[in-house]
Amino acid sequence: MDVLRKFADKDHRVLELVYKENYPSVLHYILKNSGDENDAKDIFQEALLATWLNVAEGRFTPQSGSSLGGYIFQIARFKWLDKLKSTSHRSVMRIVSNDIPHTAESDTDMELRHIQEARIAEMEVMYQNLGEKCKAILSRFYYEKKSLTEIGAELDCDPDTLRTLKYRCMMQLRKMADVKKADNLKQNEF
Amino acid sequence: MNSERDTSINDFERIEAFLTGHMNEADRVQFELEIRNDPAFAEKVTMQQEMLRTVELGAMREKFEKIHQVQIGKSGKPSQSKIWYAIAAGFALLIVSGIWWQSQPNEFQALLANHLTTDPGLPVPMSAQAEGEYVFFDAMVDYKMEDYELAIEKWNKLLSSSPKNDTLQYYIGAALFNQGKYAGSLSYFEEVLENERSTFRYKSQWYIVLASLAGENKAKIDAVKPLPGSPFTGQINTIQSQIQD
Repeated sequence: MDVLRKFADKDHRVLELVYKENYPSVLHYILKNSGDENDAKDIFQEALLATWLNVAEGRFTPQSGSSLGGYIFQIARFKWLDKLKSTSHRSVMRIVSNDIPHTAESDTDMELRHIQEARIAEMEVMYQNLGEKCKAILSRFYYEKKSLTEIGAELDCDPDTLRTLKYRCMMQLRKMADVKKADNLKQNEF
Repeated sequence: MNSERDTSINDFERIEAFLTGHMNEADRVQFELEIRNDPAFAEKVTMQQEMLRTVELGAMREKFEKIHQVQIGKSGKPSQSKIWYAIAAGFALLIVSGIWWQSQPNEFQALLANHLTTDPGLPVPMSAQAEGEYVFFDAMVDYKMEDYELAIEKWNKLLSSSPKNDTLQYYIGAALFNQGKYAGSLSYFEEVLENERSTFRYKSQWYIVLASLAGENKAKIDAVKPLPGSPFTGQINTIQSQIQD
């Protein structure tokens, strides 16, 4: 289906559509279960990112728009349940637990989801730690798929220099990932 | 691990072409063979793919924020907390207006704001250069990334062995200027201006005027005589006439 292919390809209008159509149900669910609008926004965006990543990497192939919506909602729901179980929401949990529908997530699925969530969180931190200039170049090149000439015109920079800057920015990310990997290995040794 | 030494720019761009689907069939077959036969290379490809995903994901999150503001933010009813925020914002606006009224920029600052420009730096060549040139352009990349402190540190090391190098003097001055260290930048620009063979004289003179505006030094601005043929003559004359008023 064309829309789903465009979703995997990060088409802005399709992302807008998916966002607009699926946010209200997540908002409704979270407001009903002790959350507020900010919780709903965070949880929904994280669920949408996870869904996109799973589609892009072939772990989930939606058959229709509604199955995509159902998948986003499920991820959002599981994430919200995790949050309610966390320390800060434990007191609230007792009050609302009866309202929360029974979850059908297996231990394996939950473990995989948590691994994926940790990966996404690390990626987001690394991206945030890049300088604004790097973000401007990399997002235009890899996300918006603009050419170096187009980016050069927007950022007042010649394409050859941009080529070097793009490489340098990606190596900064790589360095952050190397450090993170080394930290994780150290932690696993203990 | 030094990531840049670990993956050269040529390797990086080959991997990028593979990951983004910009590799022709024959090259792709060869590339896939390399991945199968060389685990270290395969690891590089995996790492680069992860970096690519990181950018896609980070950029997507930023887009979500915009989509939320446009699609959701506009339609929602203001919550109680939003109403309180609005009231607080109203008070804040009143206070800020008061401060603004008292801190109107004087004519020097207003002129500086109107004429302020940032030198974009020199294009960075892709080919390998001699050691000194490599350090210079490496610092130029830092300059372009707005890491002025690091660029100055690298250029200063080069300047200690070539103290009369006008390119170094000019760009150290420009980096200081871009950091708002106007007084500190002046001596570098002045030295370049003294060098009659320098191609950076026009720009140096222009930045001397701007740095003097920042320092509100009317006498110094008045004393500037635009260099013959300077593309900044018109702007310098305008500034000089405006500070007379």
